[in-house]
Amino acid sequence: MLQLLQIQKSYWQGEIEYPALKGINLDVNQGEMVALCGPSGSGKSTLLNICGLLDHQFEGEIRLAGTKVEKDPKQRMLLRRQQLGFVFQRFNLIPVMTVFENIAYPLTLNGVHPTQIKRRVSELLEAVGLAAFAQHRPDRLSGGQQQRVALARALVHEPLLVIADEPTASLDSKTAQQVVGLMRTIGAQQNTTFIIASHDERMTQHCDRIIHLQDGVLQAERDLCDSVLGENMNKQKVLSR
Amino acid sequence: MNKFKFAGLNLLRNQRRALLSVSIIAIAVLALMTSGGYGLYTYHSLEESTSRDIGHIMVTQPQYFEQEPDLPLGNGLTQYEQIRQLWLADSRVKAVQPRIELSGLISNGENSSIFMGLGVLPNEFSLKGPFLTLEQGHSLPLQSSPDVSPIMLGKDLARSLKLNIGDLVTLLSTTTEGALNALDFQVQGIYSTGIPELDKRQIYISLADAQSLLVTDKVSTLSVFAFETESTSQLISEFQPAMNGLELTPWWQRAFFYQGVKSLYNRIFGVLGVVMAVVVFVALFNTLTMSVTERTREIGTLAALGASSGELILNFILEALWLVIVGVLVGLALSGLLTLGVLWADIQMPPPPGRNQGYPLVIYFSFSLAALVSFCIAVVCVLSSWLAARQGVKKPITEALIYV
Repeated sequence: MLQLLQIQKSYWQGEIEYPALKGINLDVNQGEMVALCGPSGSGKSTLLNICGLLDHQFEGEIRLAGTKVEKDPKQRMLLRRQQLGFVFQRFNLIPVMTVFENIAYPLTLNGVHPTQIKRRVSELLEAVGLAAFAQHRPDRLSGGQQQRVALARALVHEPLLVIADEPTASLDSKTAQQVVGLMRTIGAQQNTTFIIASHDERMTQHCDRIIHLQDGVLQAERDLCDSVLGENMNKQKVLSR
Repeated sequence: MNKFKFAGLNLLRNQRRALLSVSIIAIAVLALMTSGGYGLYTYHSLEESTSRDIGHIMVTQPQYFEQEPDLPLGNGLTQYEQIRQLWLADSRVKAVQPRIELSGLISNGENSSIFMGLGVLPNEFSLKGPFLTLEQGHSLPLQSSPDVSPIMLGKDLARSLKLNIGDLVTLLSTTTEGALNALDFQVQGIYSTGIPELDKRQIYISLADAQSLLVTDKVSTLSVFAFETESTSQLISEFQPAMNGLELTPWWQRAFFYQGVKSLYNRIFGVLGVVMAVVVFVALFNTLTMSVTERTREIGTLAALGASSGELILNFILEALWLVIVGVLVGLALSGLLTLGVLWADIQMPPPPGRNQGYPLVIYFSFSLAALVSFCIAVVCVLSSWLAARQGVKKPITEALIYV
């Protein structure tokens, strides 16, 4: 579903080059939930941004659903709008919109009819257990509730791929489990692919596979992941190319 | 969510800032409406006074205003009554007044002074309304007695010759043939024009007396008074072919004071408008730049979700339009109240340069001016919001999302 071919990216400070990604190759299958882990500065966020079509200044090629993604900003914008969803660590809900309006936003962007928007958002609100909060503003919700709203927003337009950046980092254990559970459940229903950057084993233990990144290179998995995530990672499959 | 509602809610996130922006716009609108309204009143007053003084259209011999004749009325109009009747037949024409301009010496028997005179039909005063301040006596009578010719004098001329109502004076002037002629007049009225230079020299006598003094049946000009000032151009174009080579001059070509004031005020108000536009631009740009900066992460989020740059910028433009709508409405309401307040207070302005009479302060409330001011403010606000938003939207999404 998502293919990364020889992705390279460097940051420059004056004339000094800092390579962030060094020839990443990766295949992610449809419906797969992939965890991306690695220490700070390993290139995790950079890779996530590239996968989410948020960054176009890199070398290499991305293929989404078999089609090469061009560097054209308009095409990327349309792909993000139609085929991608995002979950952020700090939820990033729009404070002046109600819960309903936040979730409906991607559908509005896609020009979906209001009747369908209402039906679809109501479904998602039921699914994430927030139907009673539809007209509330985000600041009146707890962190876990806000992240559930963010998850509903990411999934409402049934995207091919959801990019999640530390989605459980700001949540307590119980809430994190709920959010992970919802991601798995709704993701499976919609056959959505997830790429999740996370250090949180509560998150990664539910992923289909874990990719470890260090110094801009995908590593062979187990030992390196163990060092980061601890022994609970042993049951995980870590694949790298 | 409705985009306009979204913009309004975003504005309310920082109510004090929104209030400040609205206040700045309202003050700018108030300043422009007040100065513009005063300008419009001044233009209208001068337009009225000029057209009332010389008529909307002056019918003369060609080159009348450019060439000075050797003898009085050397370029005057003959057979003017036929021309007058032609104009009077048109329903848009209120009156056609023949006039004679003359000059000479005025004497009380002991002292003499130069005068600049106007020979007019006696109905001129009732026709034109209160264009002079009659300080003593009456205006020229409609029916004058055959025994005595009435005269009206400027107040400073009367004072310098120590003349009062009922006193006799002699006017001495050159006839159209070049001879000297004199006629006796009785002072009927003493007036003030508000212009000291005119008050020192000006007299009014009847047209018939002026013709007798100059020994002629000509007149200098015919002044055509229309019911509507706006019909001036149309009347000129329609009547020009029937005038047999006579010159038709619209009032504004002889309204030198009006033109000068208008030109001056237009420049002053133009500069004021530019200053106000810059103030509004800077204030709104500052407000929206702060707003854009504070919401950088939100902008990044919306862009990540697939909002286009145009849609993001539109949100800020709509916020600016909210400010414009509220600010303009407040500004217009304030200027309306000010207009009424000034009328109620009956404030007298000091005399302008070259005049000795003040005038009541009036500020017009013009809907066309309000539309123009609103449009200009809206353009300035949209431009400033576009520039402010563009800066925010240009930031890469990845940077915007981690902006703190």
